[in-house]
Amino acid sequence: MTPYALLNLIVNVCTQSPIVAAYAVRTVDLDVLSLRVHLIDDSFIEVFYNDATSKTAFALIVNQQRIYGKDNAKIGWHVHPLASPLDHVPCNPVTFEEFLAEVELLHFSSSARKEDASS
Amino acid sequence: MSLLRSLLSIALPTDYAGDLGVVFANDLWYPMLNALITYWVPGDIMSTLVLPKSTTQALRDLTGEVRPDAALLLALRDAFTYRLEQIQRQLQPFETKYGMSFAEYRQRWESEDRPEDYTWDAERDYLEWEALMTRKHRLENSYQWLA
Repeated sequence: MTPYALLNLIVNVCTQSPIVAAYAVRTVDLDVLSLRVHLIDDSFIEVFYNDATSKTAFALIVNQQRIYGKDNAKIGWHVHPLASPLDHVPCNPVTFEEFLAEVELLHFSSSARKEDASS
Repeated sequence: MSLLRSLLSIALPTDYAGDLGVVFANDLWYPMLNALITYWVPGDIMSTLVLPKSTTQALRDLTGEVRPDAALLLALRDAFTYRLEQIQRQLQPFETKYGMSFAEYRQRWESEDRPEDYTWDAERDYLEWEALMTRKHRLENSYQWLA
């Protein structure tokens, strides 16, 4: 998939998502797409794709730290779990749409639970 | 080059296969016509650009070259050189931070399994560094057939 095609897909997914506030493209050219998807709670997802090397990375960033991520940067696809983001565990490839759904489930559901518990 | 030959080159692209392009109206027609720039990459289909007068004038002013095809080549070479220099400047911080070239870093990255390579900082650095190298290689490859 070309970076421009992926960008179109991501934009479509973002416009339909209740947890996306905005997105900002850093780089899009014939080989590379890099963008930041800002979420409604001030966290954001870093998206990175290199068509020439087939590298893809999605990272949920909160307070400058990756708290959850999936990528194939070094080994094959692996997840940096929410409970222990410094770990890396092999996983299946994901699309941006799937990753965003996981973020909604893992991050926003857990955030909502914490707010419920504190109130 | 005559306008007739320019038009023929569009009809008979194999006459110029492998060349960046040729073609524009002669001096007589030039003031009245936009420049036609015909180009193709070997194995690819030919394309024809019709340049607005203002663009051909800008190319002439920029390069000092009155022939639009030659001026376009010069401008492209300048653009490639400028962008490659920009990329080199962007590569420098990575090479300084890790004390090695990307080729050396990639070899270490791929051959060793160090926990610190799985941090977000390390993965992001690798992806951004690799992206710059991807861009650099693409520009270098294109520049080769311009030179």
